[in-house]
Amino acid sequence: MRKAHTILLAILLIVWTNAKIAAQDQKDRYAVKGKISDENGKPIPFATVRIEGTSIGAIADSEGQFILKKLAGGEYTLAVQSLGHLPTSFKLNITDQSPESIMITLKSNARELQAVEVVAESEKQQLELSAKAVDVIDTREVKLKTVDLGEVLAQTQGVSIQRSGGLGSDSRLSLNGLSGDKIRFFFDGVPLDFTGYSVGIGNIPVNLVDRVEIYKGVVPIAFGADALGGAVNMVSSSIVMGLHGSVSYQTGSFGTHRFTLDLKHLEPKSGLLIGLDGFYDFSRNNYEVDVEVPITERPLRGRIQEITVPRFHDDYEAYGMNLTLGLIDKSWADEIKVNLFLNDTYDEVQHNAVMTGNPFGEVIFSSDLQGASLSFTKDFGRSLSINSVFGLNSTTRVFVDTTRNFYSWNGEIQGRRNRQGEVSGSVAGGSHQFTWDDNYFNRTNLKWQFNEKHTISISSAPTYTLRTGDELLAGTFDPITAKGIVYSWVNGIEYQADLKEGKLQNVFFIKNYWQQVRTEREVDGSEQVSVNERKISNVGWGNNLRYNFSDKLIAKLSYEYALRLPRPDEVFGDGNFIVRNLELEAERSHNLNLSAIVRNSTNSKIRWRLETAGFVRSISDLIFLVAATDRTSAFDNVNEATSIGIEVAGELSGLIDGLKISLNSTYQDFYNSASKGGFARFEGERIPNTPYFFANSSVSYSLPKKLVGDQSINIYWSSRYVHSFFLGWESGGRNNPEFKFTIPNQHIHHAGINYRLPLKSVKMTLTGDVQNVLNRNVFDFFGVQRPGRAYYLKIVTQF
Amino acid sequence: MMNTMKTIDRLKKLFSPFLIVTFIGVSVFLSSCDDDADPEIDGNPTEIETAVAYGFRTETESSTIYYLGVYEDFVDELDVEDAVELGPNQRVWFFGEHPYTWSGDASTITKWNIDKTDLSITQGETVSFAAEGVSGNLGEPVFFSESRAFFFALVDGKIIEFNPSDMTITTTINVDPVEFEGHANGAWYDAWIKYTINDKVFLPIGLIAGSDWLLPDGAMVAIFDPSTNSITYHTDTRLQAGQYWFPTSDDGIAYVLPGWDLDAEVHYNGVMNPLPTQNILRLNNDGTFDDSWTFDMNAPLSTLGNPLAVYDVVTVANNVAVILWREGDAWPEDPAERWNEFGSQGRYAAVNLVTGEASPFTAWSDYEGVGSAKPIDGVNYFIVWQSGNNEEILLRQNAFDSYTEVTKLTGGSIRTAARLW
Repeated sequence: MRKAHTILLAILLIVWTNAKIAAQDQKDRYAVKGKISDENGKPIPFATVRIEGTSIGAIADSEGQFILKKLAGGEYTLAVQSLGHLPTSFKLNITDQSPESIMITLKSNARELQAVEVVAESEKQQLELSAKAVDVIDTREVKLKTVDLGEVLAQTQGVSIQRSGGLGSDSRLSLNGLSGDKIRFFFDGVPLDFTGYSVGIGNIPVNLVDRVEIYKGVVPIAFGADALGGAVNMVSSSIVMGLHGSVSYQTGSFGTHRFTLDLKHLEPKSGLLIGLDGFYDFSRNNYEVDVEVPITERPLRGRIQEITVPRFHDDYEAYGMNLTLGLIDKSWADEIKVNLFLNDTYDEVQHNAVMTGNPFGEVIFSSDLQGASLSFTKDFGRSLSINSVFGLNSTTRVFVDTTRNFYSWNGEIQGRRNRQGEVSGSVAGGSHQFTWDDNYFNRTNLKWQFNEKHTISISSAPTYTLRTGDELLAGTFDPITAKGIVYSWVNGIEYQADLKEGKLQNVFFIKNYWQQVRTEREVDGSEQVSVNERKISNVGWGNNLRYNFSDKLIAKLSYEYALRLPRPDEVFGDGNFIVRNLELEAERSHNLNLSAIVRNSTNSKIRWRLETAGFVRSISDLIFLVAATDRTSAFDNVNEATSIGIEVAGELSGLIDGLKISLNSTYQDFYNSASKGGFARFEGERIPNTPYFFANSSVSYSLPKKLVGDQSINIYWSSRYVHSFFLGWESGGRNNPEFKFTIPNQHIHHAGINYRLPLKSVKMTLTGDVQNVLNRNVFDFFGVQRPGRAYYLKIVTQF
Repeated sequence: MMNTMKTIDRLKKLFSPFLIVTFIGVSVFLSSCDDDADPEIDGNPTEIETAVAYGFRTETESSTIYYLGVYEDFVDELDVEDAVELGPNQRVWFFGEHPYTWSGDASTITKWNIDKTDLSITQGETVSFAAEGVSGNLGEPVFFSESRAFFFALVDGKIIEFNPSDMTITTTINVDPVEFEGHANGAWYDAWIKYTINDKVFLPIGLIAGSDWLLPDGAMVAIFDPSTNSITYHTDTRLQAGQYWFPTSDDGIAYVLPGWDLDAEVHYNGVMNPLPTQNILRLNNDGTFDDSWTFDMNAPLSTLGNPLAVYDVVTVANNVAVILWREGDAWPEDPAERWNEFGSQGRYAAVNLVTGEASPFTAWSDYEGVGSAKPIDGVNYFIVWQSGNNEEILLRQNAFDSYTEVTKLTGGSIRTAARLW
């Protein structure tokens, strides 16, 4: 282990030395920035810009803006082309007196549409067509809708989201069957906790995200994470010159108000970047639910009746903010940013895990997080680049369950108990618990493209976490006051080869996972401190292979031997009823993906794309909490599971002008494969409480220009089906199926219309949206009803 | 190779339903030709003469699922397939010919009906105590008759009388709640509730220490008199409060036996001069503590080794108590580790409560732990477990030191068993 670190340090030193030399090279010190518009001044997104005679080029962003870097002074010919427009080229003389930004106008050429050759793909397409096992969701259209990120993710093949309620509720994202800690989440490549958006994946406002990358089973080293089942990376809007941004406000059913703000200003002359983005969410979540309550009058006192009532204690309020200050295009840094962030949430808890019995009237969970990060990016030329980010945060979570009152589903106080607490029933007291986390994070990625075909990348990501807490209702011994310290270090090296004129791409990588876990606990309230410590080191590896049989057929094969390191509470228990297990190993999984993408010509009017993927996840040493004695439990590596599945996705557009159709479906056989231990009796049975068959469809139609002129009207409809699944093991109660605990089939529909106002200075869109159109009773978790039909209005302004 | 085998097994599993359907179809066809297989005699269904019911549970990643199974007689092995799934956080009780299940989440008791001709299980009425504010892991009600039962939530100062025949609440009796100074989590130990000759109910006040490890002073018992709907509490400081059970010895004496984690709780709470934890007490017939009798287990156990703790007093018969105790010099610093080496340090001893003599008790030495079950047909039963092979076994007592393994459950836990008729 020590040797591996020494080698890594040596490599880092060599690379850094080269970088220093490169930094002194001032030859390529010019950059060209510009914006491409049509004859009406409307930005043309994703146009291709090239300097003829060189390999230098760029693709304009969604606002038509581009940057060409690393130019020496001199005269160039700039060629610009975009689908549906006449290509153009012109001379450009680059000197110290050159303008800071150029404006390029392309003329429309609808008649010659078929003849225009599109030579570049969007960033989404580039990523999808790389060797990586990734699906990319472009949120440009979704931003105009009223769905949240949870709904957006759920529309993707291989992804299922189970939610316990409305806005702010707990969500459980599953990638090919794996969920919870096995999936890692990032925002612009930074772990979610080091941003202002740590509210949970399902609740992040979609307007703050430009695209979502879903890495299934095979995760690039650049994330520096121990992700057993995959990773989700949300990417924010790109930086362009001048002041740009967007503002959105949404309101609708259940007292919901959502506001987002995304402002970025890049001062062209100085390269100064100022950004402010954030959100505010509030919802009463007072949607109606069907509940069973007792009759309180004789002669049937105590017998059950079903009533429909609004939820009364489910308010959710959250806000998050990022303030960014940075410098762009300096000789010593392409980009350096300081980011200050905060995130507060307040979440009322309405009921227990199965929505039965007395509702909760005063249980509250809240959290607040503050932190800062510093990121640095530098492309040194000579194909060497470095990206590094440092982050720290401090989080306080508070759980309050102290009342003696108990409530009826009508929201009234029904009586008072002799003890505190609503959650833990009549046998335990309440809780007023604080937990504090201090986290420190660094990740440095180095990339060296030593020729056009071969690239080596190195990643190093140390993380330090200190957790402690306090239960205010506890007396002299309070197990959560113990300090839990985790020091993790994930290192990786990756080699990428682009061969056969780009047809073949192969990425091979090795990761090392090192972790030190330590707890410090006061003994009997004395000065003595009991210390537990444990270190582990594991190696994983993987490979991504992509082959372009033609422009129309692309195949990918990827594999990773992935690991998840145990958490400190899993290793050391709670000091009370959960016993430590120092022998606890990392969870491991062999993840295999095979996929093919078939698409027609990019020049066709009718565009279609079909993607199919098969996957296998063979997971061992799954960590479960199991009984150690009749009063204590311990986390142990007790289970094995296998997930075999297939995903199919298709897109069709252009059949009728403005019509776009997409469909996808996933079937995954995620079953228990433990042949020994406590779960051996259920070998071969599906893992309980996990969806295994689901499908999505959506249709959108943009009204033709001849009808709406400069306006834009888009009508859309989407549907999601999730097949029923069991709460417990398949065989349990099989011979008495009428009593089987089943999460029923759900088939829900959303529909809406958005209208873009014909304004020239800003883009303004109004959206009306109906969610759960048929007002179906929908359940993701057993017994916990999700919102019925809901109406929303949203206004989005982009400038 | 292993994966190939598993794939083949998987394919077999996929095809097995077709084989089963074919087999069932052929069987039904053949059975239809066999007059002897008709369960009816002269048009009347034949009633099954005996029925034994079990409550048991299995674990999943996200929850514990409970089951109710009813069979013609004791079965060698329990299987979840034959049982009715009850869902998470349930308790199973029996009275007369009916199982009753308590949902600690929903605060409901559901009555189940068993068809005597085929032992099929159907759900009866449900009574909800949610309006009374009681929930969680509460103990078994006291069934006085087919139409009168009492459900005790003494921590909240409530006794709910309900009618088991129509499953409605008769009345809610407000009584003085158990006072435990805010320290402990109150929990009934639900297997042992004793009736006196005067139809009074003896209730052990079982308490588990909360996260501060503190417990109130003195063992507690509650005496409920249903004729006056009144409750009386008695406390005895010769024994620390905690978890108890009240087995009645064959001579009719009710013993107060300290159980579970009592020694550990007292050690870790840091209280100076704690009350004794290793005494056995007796109750008088009126429910008061017998001031004239106490038995200190530490002295006889010291003749067998170095007793660190009494983990449990499992049973008393013929003035002999069977004690599960732990040998050792000191408790580990970390409380969570207090039972880490229990498997190697736990010992069973038979201690004569008259002579004070102790001897190793070997009848259960093959098992990691043991708990008492309710008597069935007048015979004592115990539930033992072996975590190594993930088995729990229902044991029938043949003699004081002789037992027969009756029913096994793999990958789960047997909670209760009873003969329904």
